[in-house]
Amino acid sequence: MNTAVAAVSHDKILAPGRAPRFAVSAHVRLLLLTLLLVVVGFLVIYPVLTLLITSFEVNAFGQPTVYGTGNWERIFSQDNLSKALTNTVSLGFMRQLIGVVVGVCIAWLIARTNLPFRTVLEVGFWVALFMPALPVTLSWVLLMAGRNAMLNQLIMQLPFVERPFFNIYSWWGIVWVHLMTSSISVKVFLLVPAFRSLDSSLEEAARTSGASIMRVFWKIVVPIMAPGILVVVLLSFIRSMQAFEIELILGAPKGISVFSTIIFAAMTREPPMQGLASALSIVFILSIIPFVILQQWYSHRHSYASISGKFSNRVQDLGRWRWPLFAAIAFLLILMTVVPFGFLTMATFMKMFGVFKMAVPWTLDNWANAMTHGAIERSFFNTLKLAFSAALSGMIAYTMIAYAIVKAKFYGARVLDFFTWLPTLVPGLVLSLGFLQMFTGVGFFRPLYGTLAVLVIAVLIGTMTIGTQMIRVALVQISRELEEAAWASGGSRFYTFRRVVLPLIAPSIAVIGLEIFATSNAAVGILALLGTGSTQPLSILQLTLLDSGRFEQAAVIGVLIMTMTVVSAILARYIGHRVGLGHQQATAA
Amino acid sequence: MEGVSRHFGAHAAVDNVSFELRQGEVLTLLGPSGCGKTTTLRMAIGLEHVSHGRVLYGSRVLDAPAERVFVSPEDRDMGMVFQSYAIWPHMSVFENVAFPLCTRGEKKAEIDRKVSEILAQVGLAGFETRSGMQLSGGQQQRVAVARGLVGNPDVLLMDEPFSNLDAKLRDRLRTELRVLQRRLNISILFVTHDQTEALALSDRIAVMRDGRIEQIGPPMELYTQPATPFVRDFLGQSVLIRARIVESGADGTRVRLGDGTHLSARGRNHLSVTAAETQCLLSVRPEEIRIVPAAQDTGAANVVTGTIRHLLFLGQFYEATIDLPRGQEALMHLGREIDWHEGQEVHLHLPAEHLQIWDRQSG
Repeated sequence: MNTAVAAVSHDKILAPGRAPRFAVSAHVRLLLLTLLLVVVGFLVIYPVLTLLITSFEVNAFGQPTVYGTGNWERIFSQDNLSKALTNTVSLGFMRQLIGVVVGVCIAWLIARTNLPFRTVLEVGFWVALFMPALPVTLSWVLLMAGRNAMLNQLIMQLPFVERPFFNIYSWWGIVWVHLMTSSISVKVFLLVPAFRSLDSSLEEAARTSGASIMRVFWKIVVPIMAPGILVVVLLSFIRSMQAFEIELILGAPKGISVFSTIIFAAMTREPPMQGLASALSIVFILSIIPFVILQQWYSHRHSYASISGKFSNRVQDLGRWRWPLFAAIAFLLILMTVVPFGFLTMATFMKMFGVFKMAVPWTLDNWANAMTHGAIERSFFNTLKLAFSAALSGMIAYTMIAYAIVKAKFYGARVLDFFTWLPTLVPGLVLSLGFLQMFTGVGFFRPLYGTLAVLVIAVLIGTMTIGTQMIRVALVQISRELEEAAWASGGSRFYTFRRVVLPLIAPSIAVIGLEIFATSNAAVGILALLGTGSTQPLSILQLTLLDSGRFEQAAVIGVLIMTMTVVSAILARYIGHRVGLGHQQATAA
Repeated sequence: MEGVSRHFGAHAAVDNVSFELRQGEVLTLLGPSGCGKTTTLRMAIGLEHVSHGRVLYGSRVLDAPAERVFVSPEDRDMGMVFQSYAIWPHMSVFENVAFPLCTRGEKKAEIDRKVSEILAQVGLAGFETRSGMQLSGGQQQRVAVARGLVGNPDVLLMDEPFSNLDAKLRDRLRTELRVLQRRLNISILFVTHDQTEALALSDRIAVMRDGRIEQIGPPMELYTQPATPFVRDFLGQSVLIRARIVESGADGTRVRLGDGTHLSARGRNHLSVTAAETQCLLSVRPEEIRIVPAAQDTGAANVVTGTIRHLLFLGQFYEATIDLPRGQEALMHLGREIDWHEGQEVHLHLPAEHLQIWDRQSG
């Protein structure tokens, strides 16, 4: 049926016979993409693989390698492992239970009601999310540890209270500090956008049917949002199993051990027990996998969102509860941000950490010492170097990876995507151990050991999932036609990327850069075994100072870390907020 | 395009399509969604690879898997206007339009001159510094056209460029585009699903269906001489009447309707078998039918009698549903000059030269 018309050459249409250069560049492109896939794959898989091998090395540290199953027999014959497992799960469970109830309520109040200053509160929780764990822990030690702690002093003024009421060095103390850092704030952060996308006519229908606002919340909002909430809870549960530094500081004195702290203990023993630590790490990863599978399975099954194209987003009136609820949330936020910062800063001016019963408890010596103390100065510059290099290389690397996954029509895109998710499986401390073995064990890498590059790579692997995913989201929002129009206009792949794609995703890349910067400042677990000697960053110096009980010096470092982290987090928030608007315009085009 | 196909898995989105875009013509690929017209367009510029066949630009091979040749889109020297216009939101109007010139590394002064010139041509002079986001749909469309034309290509590809505009604006821009195309004497390969647009704009139309070209030719030819039932029904309305062949001769065909009326048809006969008593289907464009109240009619050959069932007054004319014998019906426009009413008996004069004969199944 089709009418065939032969193509006849036309004088005017005789085009210059340019060489088809696509054929060549396509091969180069494929080669580069494959190289990217191999490098990323190696960096995420090898550290775990080397742990597996090391777990069968039973020789003593520094002796010739002997293989055997001794490490595995040992960890399963002692009750250390089961105690640590119980603590890891029970601590995580309690945090998530309290965190989700409080977090869901706050997220709903911020997203769906006329709570006063709700945008300010939202920013507050963003800052709380970035509060570095060690300095915050330190400030709660100041407030709640032993007879001299300030809150205990205050409470003992009351009649009938004879003994210190709070004890931060306890199971509940660990739960408390986690709640004050990320357990609540991460839920607010993740759930507020989800609540915003809920159609308010669903709530209004319930109100007009005679339900009170509380009833609407429990009977309508929570059930509708339940799948989303559960996904967030599972995700934070996985993260909380991987927690390290709070448990180390608060749990160790009372013998409360979790997975990451027993691995750390095995590694810091003299001589270090690498094989045992590796075997524990493997068990640790294996115990996390079921939760990851559950989370993935569940979020795939419930990927339907309550988001429809058209929805109204009118807020519910809280009536006379507006101000009381505001006061409660503001108080919580102050506990999370101002209190740690204030008391930690105060502690840097004290002769003895937390001890007020002195004639003159105040001093400037701590800061003066810090300024002259070589280690602090060196670590400060290490941290700056680490944070800048990690942020810069992360922005480049994640953009390349995300572009390869989304836009490059690359055979390995799915595998690459899978690789970027793998690091979420592996706790920071375990990754740190894997990298330690990789950089000391593989001849090719040995020259890197002891340089800052090792720390940069570790941070990059640790932040890879969120970094790649954020840029990926930005890329997906760029309509394919915007690129095709540039190609059709004569722009090469690279030129198109530089002129069209990059400017559109630049704000997202900047946000990621600031987040990597913030993470590098505060990171402990992932650097714990790598950042030794001359490359020690501030966060690890702080950890060692805390370990040896020099709290005043640690507080000085804590204030430095907290300031740098919070400032970059606020900057990221500011830019990210503008990105949000930019994207809405881009997609409306 | 020589015998071009595009497969997505086992499915052939475009199946053995051949056509040639001539210098200075507007060729429209017309068809329902999913017929492969956009894929064909994207293969022309290289946003899709062909699976079989060849794409040529003059004598230059652009895409031929058998010869392992593929020229990437940026090296094809064509312009393209996208359905969404794809105006880059981070660039001004000037930057958007200047982009194709920048990719070739032209001089600043030269770029300035060419961009101002083309912006004036599309009626956007003075809009240079606006951001793409500050433009209305019609203005965005003009920017997209300017961007497609600024590099002075011989060929402009347009993918449903009017589908996002309201009806009035669409009519105006359509006329403007036609004027601009004539003035610049460029070739346009145009994709649309809108038959009115295709008829109004094109020098030739290729009607596509299921990845194949059903018929290609000037609009008038497709409209008056459709080669297939699909083209007949896709372009315009037809009145269809069931009949049987009485005899087929050199001077047309005589047919008999169900109620015994005899008609003669001298339009195209699409039947392969024309033996007597063969079932067939007559088609005629409604505007070819002259309709007269039965009471006033003096009678003539080739007349079918019907009754007005529904009558809607639409301002310029009446829209009438007319009952034909044996439960058939015709939807017609009637002029205002006669006082029509529902239930009225009318005569439909069917001019023999416009009566085409089709297979009965084609209705």
